[in-house]
Amino acid sequence: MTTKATTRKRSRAEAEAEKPVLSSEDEFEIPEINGDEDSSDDSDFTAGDEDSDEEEEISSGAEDEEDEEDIDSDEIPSEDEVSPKENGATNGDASDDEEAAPIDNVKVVTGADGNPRYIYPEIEPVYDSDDTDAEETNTIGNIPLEYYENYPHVGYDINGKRIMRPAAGKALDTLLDSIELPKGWTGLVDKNSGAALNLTEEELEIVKKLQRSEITDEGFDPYPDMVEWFSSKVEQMPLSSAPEPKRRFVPSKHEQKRIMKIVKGIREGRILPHKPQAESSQEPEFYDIWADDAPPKPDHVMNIPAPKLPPPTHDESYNPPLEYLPNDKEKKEWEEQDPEDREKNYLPRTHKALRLVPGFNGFIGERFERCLDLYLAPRVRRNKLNIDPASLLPKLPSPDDLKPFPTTCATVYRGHEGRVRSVAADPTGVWVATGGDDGTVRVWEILTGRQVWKLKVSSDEAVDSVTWRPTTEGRILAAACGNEILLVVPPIFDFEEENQGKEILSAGYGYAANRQGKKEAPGTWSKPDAALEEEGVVVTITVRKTVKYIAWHRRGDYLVTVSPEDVRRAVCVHRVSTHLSQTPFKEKSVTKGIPQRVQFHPSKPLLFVATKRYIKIYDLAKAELSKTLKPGARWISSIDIHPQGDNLIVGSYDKRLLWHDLDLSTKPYRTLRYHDKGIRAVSFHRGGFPLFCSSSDDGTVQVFHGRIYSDLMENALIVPLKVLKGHKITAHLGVLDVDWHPKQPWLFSAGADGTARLWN
Amino acid sequence: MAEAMDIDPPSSFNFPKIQINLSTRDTTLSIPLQPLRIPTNLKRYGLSTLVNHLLETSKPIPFDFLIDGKYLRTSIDEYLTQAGLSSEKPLDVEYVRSQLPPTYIGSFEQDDWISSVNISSPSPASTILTGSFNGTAQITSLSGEVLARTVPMHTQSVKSTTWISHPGQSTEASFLTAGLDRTINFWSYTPSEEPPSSQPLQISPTTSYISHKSTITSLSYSPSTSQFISSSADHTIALWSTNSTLLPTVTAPQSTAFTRKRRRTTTKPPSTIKKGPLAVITSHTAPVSQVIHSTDPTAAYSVSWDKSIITHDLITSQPVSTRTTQHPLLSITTLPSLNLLAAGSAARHITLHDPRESSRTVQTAVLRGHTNGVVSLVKSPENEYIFASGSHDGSVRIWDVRSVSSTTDGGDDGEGKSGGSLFVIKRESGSGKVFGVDWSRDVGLVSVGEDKKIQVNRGEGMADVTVMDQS
Repeated sequence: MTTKATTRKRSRAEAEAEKPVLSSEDEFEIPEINGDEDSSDDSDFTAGDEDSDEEEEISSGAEDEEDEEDIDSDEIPSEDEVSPKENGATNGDASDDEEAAPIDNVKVVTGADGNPRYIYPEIEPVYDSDDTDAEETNTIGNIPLEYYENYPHVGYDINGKRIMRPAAGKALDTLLDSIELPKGWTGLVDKNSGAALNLTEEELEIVKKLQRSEITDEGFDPYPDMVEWFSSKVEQMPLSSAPEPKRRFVPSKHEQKRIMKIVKGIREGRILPHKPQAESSQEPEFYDIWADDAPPKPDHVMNIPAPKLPPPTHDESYNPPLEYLPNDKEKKEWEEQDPEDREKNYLPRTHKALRLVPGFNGFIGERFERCLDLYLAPRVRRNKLNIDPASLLPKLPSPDDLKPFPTTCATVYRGHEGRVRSVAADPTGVWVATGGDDGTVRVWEILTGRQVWKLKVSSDEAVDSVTWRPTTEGRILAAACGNEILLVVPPIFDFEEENQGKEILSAGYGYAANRQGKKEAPGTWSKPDAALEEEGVVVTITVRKTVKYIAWHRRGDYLVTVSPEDVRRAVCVHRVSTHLSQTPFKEKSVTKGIPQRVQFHPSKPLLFVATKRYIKIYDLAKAELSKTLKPGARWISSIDIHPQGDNLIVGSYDKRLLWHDLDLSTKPYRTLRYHDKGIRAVSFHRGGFPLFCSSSDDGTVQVFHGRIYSDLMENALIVPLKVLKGHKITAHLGVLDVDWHPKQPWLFSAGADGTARLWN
Repeated sequence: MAEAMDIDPPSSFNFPKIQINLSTRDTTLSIPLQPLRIPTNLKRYGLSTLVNHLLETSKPIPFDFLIDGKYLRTSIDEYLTQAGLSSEKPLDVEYVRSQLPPTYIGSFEQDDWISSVNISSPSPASTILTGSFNGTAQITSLSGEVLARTVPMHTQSVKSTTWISHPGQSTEASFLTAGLDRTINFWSYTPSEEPPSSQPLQISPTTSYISHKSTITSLSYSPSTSQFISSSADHTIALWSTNSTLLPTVTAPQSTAFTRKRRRTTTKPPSTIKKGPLAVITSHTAPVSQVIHSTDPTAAYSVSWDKSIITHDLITSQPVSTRTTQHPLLSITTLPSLNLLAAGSAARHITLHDPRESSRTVQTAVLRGHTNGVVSLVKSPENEYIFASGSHDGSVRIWDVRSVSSTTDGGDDGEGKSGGSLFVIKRESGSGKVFGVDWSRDVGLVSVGEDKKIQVNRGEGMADVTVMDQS
C-alpha cells in the first residue's frame, strides 16, 4: 500500500512540476485536499482500516511519509547523506532540500501539519559576463597557504621578494601578555596623592556600563520579561470579574440612529437608494478659460469668492490724460523706490495707438502676486452678530414717566443733638416724629420743619425707634428708649383725638390689676412718672433688654418689639388693650439666630422675623413656621413688606437690597446693588404710590419704582429712580431710617448728622 | 422821526434795520399802529426812549419789551441770532411798563419764626401784621416799632392772620389769627394816636372760633359780606361771620388729662366767647392749604394737598367745580382782571389756571424757577399782570403773566406755555424758608420767614410810575 501511495504521489508531483503555474499560496491547500483523497483512497484499498477516524488516518499518513523518506534515501544513495536526516529534523529547510535533490528537481519534506511538502529548487541565474570588476587582492596566486605553513612568508611578489605573513593575533596577544600590569591599572595619576589611580572591578564595571549608557545599578534589568496581563487567553481567574458590559450584546443605538437617519432621508426622498449614475462623468469636462468670471459655484458656506480686482483707472489707459503722466521727478522717485514700497507697479505711459502698447513685462509676477494674495490671505466667513448693545438692556420706562417721586430735599428738621435714629410720619400726614441719640422724641410740622413737641425720655439712652399707631383714631406714638417702650399721645392733636388715644391706652390697666399673681411676663406695663405723664406718656412697658425696633399690627392693638441682646426673649408681642406682653417663641431654638427686625403682615396673621441671615414667616393663627426666606445676605439690617403683602424688600449690611416675591421662591427675585455701604433701612410707600426706598451708610437714600401687577403671570417691575444726596456721613454712619409720607410721594429720612429731612 | 433818528448811535449805520410793530395791552399807553424801521443794535433803553418819544410823555416812563413772551434783555440783533430769526421779517414787540427791580429797604427782627404777614391799607400809615410761631401776632410800624402784641392766647404757633378792619378805617382795628392750636381768635384794638410808647400794646381776644380738628392753614376775609373762611389740615373749610350773633355758641373741648404744665405756663388766658362755624365744607380729601375769596364774595377758591383747586359757592357751601392738577398745591391767588388763578405747588412751580367753566384746559401755563414748595402768592398792587411768590427755598420771585412762551422744553406737565421769573429776591439774612409775602403800593414787597425777619423790598422809582398813572 505504501509503495502504491508513493508512486502515485510522485507521479502527481511530477505532473505538478511540469506545470509550475501554481502560486505558493496553493501549496498548502493542495496537501489537505490530497490528504482527504488519500484517505478515501486508503479506505478503498484497506477495508480493515475503515473503523479508524480521520485523525488516525492522517497520522498514519505521516508515518508513511517518514517511511517514504527512508525509502527514498535508500533508493538514491548518491545523494548527500546529511540532507535527508536534516530534513527530518529541521522539517523544511528549503535551500538544503533543493541542493539535496538537484536531480529530482523536487524534494518532499514533512510539513508542519504532518503532510508531505514539496520543495522546489531555486532557479540559479547564470551570469555569462566575465567578472572583471571583482577586485583582486590575492597577489600570491592560486597557491594553498598550507604550503607555506612552516615559513614566515606566504609567497612572492612580482619582483620575487617575499610577501611576509601578516602578524597573527596570537603574537600580539603574547606580546601584550608579556607586559605585567598591576590589577586595575588605568594609567591615570591620582590628583591628590600622586599615586597611580587604580580602579576596582566594580568601578570598571560601572564605567563600562556608563559607556554603554546603561543604568549602573547592580541587578537592574532594563528588559524584564513582560507580564501579559491582557492576552487572548481566557484565564481561570480573570483580573476583573466584571460581567460583560451590556454594550457588547445590545444593538448599538448610535448605529441605529445613523440608520434611522438614512431611513428618514429615504422616506423623505432626500436620499435615493438606487440613484442612476450621472452620465455626465462620461463626457470630458471643459473649462472656459476665456470666460470673464469663473462659473458660479453652488452656494456653500465654505465657498468664499475671491474679491474682485478694482477696475482699471485713468492712469492705466494706453493714452492717459496729461495730469496722470508722471513728470521726471516723479519718475525718478518711482524708480528709486524699493519695488515693495511702490504704490503702483507700473508707471503711466502714453502711446500713440493701442496697437503700439507693448506687452506688460510684469504680468507673470503680477498674476503670481495675486495668486499668493488669494492663497495666503485667510478668507473666513465670520458670522458676526450685529447687536445693538442698547437692545440688551432691559426695557425700563424712563424715570420721567414714573413721576411723581421725591427728587429734592424740601425741609431739614434741625434740633436733635447727635444722631437721629428713627423717623415716622403720622397717619394723618401732618406730623413727623423722630427719635434720636439725645434721648428725645420730637414731633415736627412736615412742610415748615418746625418742631412742635419734644419729649426728653432719657438722658443717657438713645431713642432707637419711634412709630405711630397705624390707625385713624387715637394718635398714639410708640417710642423705644433703652429697655422701655413708651406709648405716648403727643399733646398736639385735637382734644377729642387726644382723649381717645389716652382711653385706648389706659383701658388695659384693669387687666393688669387682675393679673397680679401670674409668673413673670416678658414685659412690665406701668404708669409713667408724673413728669412724663404730664408730657403725654400714658404707659411704659419695660422689657429686659434694649429694644431696637417696634412694629405695630395694622389694627393697632398689638405691637411687636425686638431686643436682639435678649437671647431668650428677643421678640415680644405686646397687647395694648389688655396690657399684656408675651413672647411668641418660648425657646431660643425656635428662632435660631439673633432677630433683627420683625413685622406683621399687612393683612394676614403672619409675623415676619428677620434674623441675621434668614427671614422666617410664622403663622400666628396656626402657631407654626410657615416659610423661611433665604435672601443670601450676610447680615440683614431691615425688612419691609409691600402693602399688598406678597412682596418683601430686605436691606442688608453687605450693601444689597433684595426684593422677594413671596409667591416665587425663597430666593430673592431681584438683587439691587447700588449702595456703596451697608443699607440701614428700607421702606415701601403705603399710600398708593408704587415707590420704595433704601437708605445707607453712604449718606444716600435711593428711591425705586416698584410696581407689582395684579396679573400673577407678570413679575414686579423695578426701576431705580433717584439717589437723594444730602445727609452727611458722620462717624461712618449715613442715613439711619426712612419713612414715607402716608399719602404723598414724600420721603422722610433720619441721618446720623443730627438732621431729619423731607424729600419731595 | 428825525429826532428818533438822533437817538441812534452813529455806529448804527453799519447795522441792518428791522421793521417792528409796537403794541401794548395797556390802553393808556397805546400808540397808533405804525411800522417802524429801527437798527437792530438797539437795546431796551433805546426802544424805551423811542416809545417815550412816540408817546410824547413829559417824563420818560421806563418800558420793557416783550418779544414772543420773553423780555428783551439783549440787543435786538442778539435776540434775532439767538432765536434764529431773519431781520427781514417784521418783529412784533409788546411794550410794557418796566417792573423795576425791588431793592432791599430793610428788615425788622422778631424773636421767633414768622409764619404770615399782612399789610394794612395805607391811611394814615401802613402797619404790618405778622403771626409768629411762638403763638403771638404783632403789629409793626414801618419804622420797625412793635405797636401791639397779642396775649399768648394761642398755645401753639400762629399760622395765619388777616385784617378785618384796617387801622385808620375806623377807630377800632381788628384782625384774626389762627394756627396750630385749631382755634381762630378775633382781636380788636384801638390804635393809639400818640407816638408809640416803648411798651407795645397788649391785645386780648374777644371771640374764639372753634370747629377745626387740626392746624388751621389760612384765613380769608371778605369785607363785603363780613364773612371769613378758614382752611385746615383736617381737610375741611369752615365759613364764619364776624357778626357773632349769627354763629352758634359752642363749648371748647377739654383735654381730660389736665396737665399741670398747661396751668403753670401762662397766666390764665382770657376767657372768650366760643363760637361755631356757619358751615363746614368737606370737599377736599387732604389737608387744605389755602382758601381765598373770589372777586365775587360768595365764591371761594381752595387748594389742597389732594392736588385739586375747588371753587366753592359759599351760600350753599357746595363745590362748584374741581380742577385736579398733578401736584399737591400749597397756595393760591387770583389775578381777577385776567380771569386767572395762580397756584403754587409742592412740586416747586406755579401753575396758572383759568377758573371759568368755559375754559377747557386744566392749566394755562407753568412758571418754573423755585427750588422748593411755593407757599405764598400775592398779586402786585400796581400791575395786573404781575404777582410775587414766596417759597420754602428762601426766595421771593416776581412773575409776569405775559412773559410766558410756548416753549416745549421741560414742559412735561405744563400744557403748552411756561415761563421764568422776572426778579428773584433773596433773604438778606442768607437762608431760611419764606413763609409769607404781602405786597402793597406804599410799603412794597414784605416777606417773612424762618429767619425771624420781616424783609421789605421796594422797586425804586415806583412812585414815579404812580405819578404817571394818576396824571
